[in-house]
Amino acid sequence: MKLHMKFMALAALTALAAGCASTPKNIPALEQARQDVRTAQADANAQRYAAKEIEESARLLTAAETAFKERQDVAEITHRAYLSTQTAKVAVELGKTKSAEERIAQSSAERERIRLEARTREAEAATAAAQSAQAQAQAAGSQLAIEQQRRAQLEEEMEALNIAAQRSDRGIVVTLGDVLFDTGKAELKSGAGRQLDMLGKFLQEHPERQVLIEGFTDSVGSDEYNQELSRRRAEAVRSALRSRGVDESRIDVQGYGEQFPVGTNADAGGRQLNRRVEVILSNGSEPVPPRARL
Amino acid sequence: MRSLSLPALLLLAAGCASTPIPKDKLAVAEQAVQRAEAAGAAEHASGDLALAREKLAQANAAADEETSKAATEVTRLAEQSAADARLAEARAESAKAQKAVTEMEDGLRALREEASRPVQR
Repeated sequence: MKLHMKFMALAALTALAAGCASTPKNIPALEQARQDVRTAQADANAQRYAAKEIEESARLLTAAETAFKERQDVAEITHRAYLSTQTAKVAVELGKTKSAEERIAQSSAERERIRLEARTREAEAATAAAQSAQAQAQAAGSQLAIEQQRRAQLEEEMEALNIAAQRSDRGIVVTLGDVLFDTGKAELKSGAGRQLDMLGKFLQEHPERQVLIEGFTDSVGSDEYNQELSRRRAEAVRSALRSRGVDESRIDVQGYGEQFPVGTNADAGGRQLNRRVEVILSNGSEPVPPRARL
Repeated sequence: MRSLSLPALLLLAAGCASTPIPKDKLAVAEQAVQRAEAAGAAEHASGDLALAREKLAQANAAADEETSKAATEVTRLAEQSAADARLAEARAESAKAQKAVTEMEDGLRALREEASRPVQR
C-alpha cells in the first residue's frame, strides 16, 4: 500500500515534469503532416507532375520534426507542420490537374480516330447504297443506270487496252505525252504506234463515238508558232487514226498552243506535261463540245 | 556633439531590431490570395479561400501592434494564409481540369455513339 502510494506520486511528478517541458508526445498537426506527406509521396500523379512540391512539403516536415526534437514551442511545431500539410495537399492537387490536362491533350487524337472510323463507315455505306441503287435502277431499266454501267464498262475496256484514260464531262480523255513527238516536230515517233493501235481498235469497236483531238504546247516560243505546232501535232494523230481505219468524219482537230497548261511552265518537268495531245472520245454519239476559250 | 555609450547604442539597435514586421510575408500572402481568387477559388475552393482571407486579415491586424510577439504572429499567419491560398488555387485548377475532362469524355462518348449509329439513307 505504501509502495503503491509512492509509485503514484512518482507518476504525478513525471507528468508534471513533462508538462514543464511544454512539448507533449503527440502533436496532432505533426501527425497529420507526416500522413499527408506520405500520401503525396505515394501519389503517382503527384510524383510525376509535382516533384518540387513534394520535396518542399518533406522539407517543411523535417523543419517541424526538428522543432519537435528541440522541444520548441508547440505553436511553432504546429505552424511548420501545417505548412507541410498544405504543401503536400497542393502537390496532390497539382498531380490531378496535370494528369487531367494530359488526358485532354490525348483526347484530340482519340477524337480524330473516332471521326476517321465514322467516315470510313459512311463511305462504305455510301458505296453499298450506290451499288444497290444501281442494281435497282438497272432492274427498272433506268436509262441513266445503263449509261453509267456502259461508261464503266468502257473504261474497263480501255484499261484492258492499256490506254490511260480519264473521265470528264466532255467525254473520255486519253492524253498522249510529248514523248511521241520530237522537239518542234509534228511527226509521230514510231513508239506512238502501240498506243494509237489500241485507240484505233477501240474506236472501230465503238463506231458511234465522236473524237476531238486537241494539241497543246509549253510556253517556249512564239504564240503563233505554238498554235501552229499544236494543231499540226493534233492533225498528225488524226491521220494516224485514219490510217488505222477510223473514219475521218468522226474526228475534229483543235490546236490550243500554250493555252490550258496542266503543269507549270517554270520547270522542265512541268513543260513536258504541257506538251501533249489529248484525244477526247464522246460519251454518246454527239460531237465532243470544244473548250471554252480562256 | 555627445556620443552615446556603446551599451546604449546596442540597446537601441536591439530595440529597433526586435519588432521587424515582415511586410514581405504579408505581400506574398496578399498575392497568393489574389491568384487563388483569379483561379476561381471562390467557386471551387471556398473553404480554403475563406481561411486564407481570414488569416491574412488577422495578420494585417497583428501587424499594427509593433511588438516582437506580434512579429512572430504576423509571420505565422501570413505564411499560413499564403499556404491556404496556394491550396485554394490548386484545388480550383484541379476542379476546372476535372470538369474539362468530364466534358471531354462526354463529348467522346457522344462522338462514339454517333459514329457507331447505323448510317441513314
